[in-house]
Amino acid sequence: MDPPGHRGTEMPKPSKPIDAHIAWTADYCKHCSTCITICPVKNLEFKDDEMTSLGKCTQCLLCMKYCPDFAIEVEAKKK
Amino acid sequence: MKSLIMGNEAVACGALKAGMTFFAAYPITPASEIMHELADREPEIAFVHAEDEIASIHMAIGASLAGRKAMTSTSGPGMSLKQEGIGLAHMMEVPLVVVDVQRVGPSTGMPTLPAQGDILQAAHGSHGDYLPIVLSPASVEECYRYTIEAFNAAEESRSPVILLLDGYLAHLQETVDLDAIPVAVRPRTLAPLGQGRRHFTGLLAKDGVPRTKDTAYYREWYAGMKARMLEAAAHYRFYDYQKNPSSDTLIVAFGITHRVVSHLRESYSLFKPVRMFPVLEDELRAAAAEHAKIVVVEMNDGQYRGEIQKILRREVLGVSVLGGTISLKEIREQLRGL
Amino acid sequence: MDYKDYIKWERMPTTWCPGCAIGTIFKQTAFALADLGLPAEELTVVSGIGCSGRAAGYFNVDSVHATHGRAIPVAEGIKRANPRLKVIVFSGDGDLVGIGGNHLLHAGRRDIDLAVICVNNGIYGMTGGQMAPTTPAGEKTLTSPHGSAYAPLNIQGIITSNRRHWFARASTFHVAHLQRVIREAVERPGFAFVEVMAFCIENFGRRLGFKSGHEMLTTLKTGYKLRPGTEGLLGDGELGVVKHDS
Repeated sequence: MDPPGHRGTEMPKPSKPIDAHIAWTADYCKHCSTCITICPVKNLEFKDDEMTSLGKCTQCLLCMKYCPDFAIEVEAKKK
Repeated sequence: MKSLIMGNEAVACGALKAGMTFFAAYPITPASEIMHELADREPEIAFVHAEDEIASIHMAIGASLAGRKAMTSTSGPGMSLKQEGIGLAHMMEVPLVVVDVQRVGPSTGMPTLPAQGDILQAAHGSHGDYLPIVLSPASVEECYRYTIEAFNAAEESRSPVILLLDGYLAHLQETVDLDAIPVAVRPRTLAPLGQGRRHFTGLLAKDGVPRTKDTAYYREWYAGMKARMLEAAAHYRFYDYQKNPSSDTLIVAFGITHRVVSHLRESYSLFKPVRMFPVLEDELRAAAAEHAKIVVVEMNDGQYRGEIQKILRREVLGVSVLGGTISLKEIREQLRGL
Repeated sequence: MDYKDYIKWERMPTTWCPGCAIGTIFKQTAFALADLGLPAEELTVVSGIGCSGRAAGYFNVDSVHATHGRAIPVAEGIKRANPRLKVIVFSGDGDLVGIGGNHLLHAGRRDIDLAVICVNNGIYGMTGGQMAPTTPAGEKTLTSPHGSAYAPLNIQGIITSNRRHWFARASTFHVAHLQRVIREAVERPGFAFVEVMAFCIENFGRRLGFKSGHEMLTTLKTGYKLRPGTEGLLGDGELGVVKHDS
């Protein structure tokens, strides 16, 4: 039996860092803008269909939790 | 040990012998005795008296995927409801056995009277193209034997196999020694759920990934499925052919009707198909070639006759015994009138 | 375990429309499973037909995509056949409480150990936006062009009519709560039903005048409040858990 983990599956597609804490995966993004509107500090924006960060991220993880398509990943705050 | 048992009981005994450990059904005349027989077998088997016919076949599908040999039983009205699940099991390649104890329809019809009116429903009742294996026993002993073979065929073909009984046969009591019947049981090969990452779907899929707009792949898949079914079915060529050299007429009959016409073996040749579908093409063609007339005697208005005519591409006559009662006298008169 | 272990990455992105709520619920389910640390060998996901029905195929575990309305009986067959497996049903309102309504009644009555996650978007989304049993009274759909004449089905009432019951209502806006109740539902030995209030922007929302998925999401924020405790039934705008274990 395979070990647990990513058994036989592909790893997630390569994402692109758009900030010190945020990575965005163009291949998964459907441009629904949920992340942009849910962000409490209005940190995210599309520029020519590319997700960009305005450098205000507080690492609250809301965009990551709401994104329906696994397109945005945020590093959790170090404890 | 010899004992007096009923067709339905023999089906239940055969299922247990074949290694069935999951049974779900909904009560319906004349199939309920199969349920009664299996109701008190826990924990040897898991038994579910389901909320309806559709639930019972889908539970059997789930249980089969989870690693158990599964069966459900019903009669014509329930069979119509189960067609949805039969299609799913064909698409997902799930082995299971569906017993249909036929009664007079359509609809509620004559619920307590037997018939053989589900022949086409058994072969083509679900939508789309598929090739089911359908077996039809003709005695209590055969109910036992061919229930086991139905399970074997289901495992081998990875599909739902249909066992067609009729109300007479289901309630017929005969003295048989089931333990003395030699049987071979095919083991389960499908790995049970919990292996990791397989996806079973009713959609057209390749390796668990839906291919819902891929016509070329559909054709490839269909050809593969057809080949698989025919290859498996080839191992279940059950029939009985009694040639009467002095007769120019071949009577084709199955189930209880065969039991009745077997009294005419002095006057006619008899062919009893047990594997109703895929139709025993070579065997029927060979038997037909030796006779000037072919007559199908059945308790419906020519359902199997049409199938045989299609295969043989020559005129096939029919004797229809309708309305739930059967008499040798009536059959003999109809045969003379042909 | 990481939630990423529960996703079939080669199937991403999903078939769902941009901004669709199902993706968020799917993700919270993966979070909850990672939280519980359930290995794939002890897990099966079953779906019916509809947009939500596609979810089963995206989980990186053995999964079954059944016919319309039959996710619960297939799941019940699996559970009865192998009680060691945790069986999760992930499907929509039309599938589970519409065409599959009878199975819901009886699986609840038998208190069979399943966690049912029901994406309730109040519409038949995949087929273009027809009236569902959960469509609010008065709402216009393709099959209720003058507004639905009927009150929506009371799912909570159906589940809680059984003496032993576990029912949760959550929403796709309240994600932390959603993740928590999914976890609890999977853990509960018995029939656990999570009604997730969601939305369908493409085939319902736009007709109702919403301009984006997010606009619908915020209506869930204003329309629903969390209710603490598990006593008594949930009111119309309340999210929470109702249970009775003896």
